[in-house]
Amino acid sequence: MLELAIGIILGGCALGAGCAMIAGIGPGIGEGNAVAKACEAIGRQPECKGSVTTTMLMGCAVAETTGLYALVIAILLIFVAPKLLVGVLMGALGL
Amino acid sequence: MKIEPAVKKETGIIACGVTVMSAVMVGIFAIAGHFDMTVLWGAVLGTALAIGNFFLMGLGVQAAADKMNGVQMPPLDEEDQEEVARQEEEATMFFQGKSAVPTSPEAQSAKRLVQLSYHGRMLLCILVLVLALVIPVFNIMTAAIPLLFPRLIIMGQGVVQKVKEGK
Repeated sequence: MLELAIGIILGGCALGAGCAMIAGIGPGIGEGNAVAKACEAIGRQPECKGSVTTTMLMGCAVAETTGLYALVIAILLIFVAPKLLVGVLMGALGL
Repeated sequence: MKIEPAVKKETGIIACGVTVMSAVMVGIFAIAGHFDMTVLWGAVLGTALAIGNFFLMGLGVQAAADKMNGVQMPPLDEEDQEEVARQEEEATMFFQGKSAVPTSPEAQSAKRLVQLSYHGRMLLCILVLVLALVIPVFNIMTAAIPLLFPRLIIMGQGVVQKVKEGK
């Protein structure tokens, strides 16, 4: 029974980490689209390159944080949460 | 490759902000009574990773912008402007993949370059965070938290700009 409980904890953590990393796909697509459009704007108005690059950089940084949140959560779920949860389980069972 | 002043300036601002916020984070750990050398080394690693990640992103964006050097796209005519306005209106209602399709091969190439750069940087972050976990010298929490600081700094910049405009 204990093995089953630990298995469920580990499986849940791994599934959660996988689900969290789905959020890593969006920023890649979004950043690409934003940069492509910004490049078109630079092509139309080359004199605005500096300000467009600055805005593009800020936009990419903000978009990327979503992916980084997902990454941090996934890493914590894989490496930190199982140990913690198994410890809590053992404590609850008095083992 | 010559680094553009915009990239240098923004990286400088982010570097200063992340360093200050990391110092505050270590201070909070110390006040909470959790300070040891792993916290400090983790903070150093996380700060370096956050700054390096932003700088690499800047280089990627600059390389994408440089792809448009010498490319002259025609200005939007009235019909194009109407189409852009229509797409923007639709995009406010729901996600429109169509409106984001680049119209020139250079822009398409820039898009692929930035997407490649994003995935490369993400892999780098994974590698560094896993190393921070495996090597007991680093505290994983203080190594991971600084990665989220650039967004706070950008939000802070926006607030400061608005306050300045209001005065």
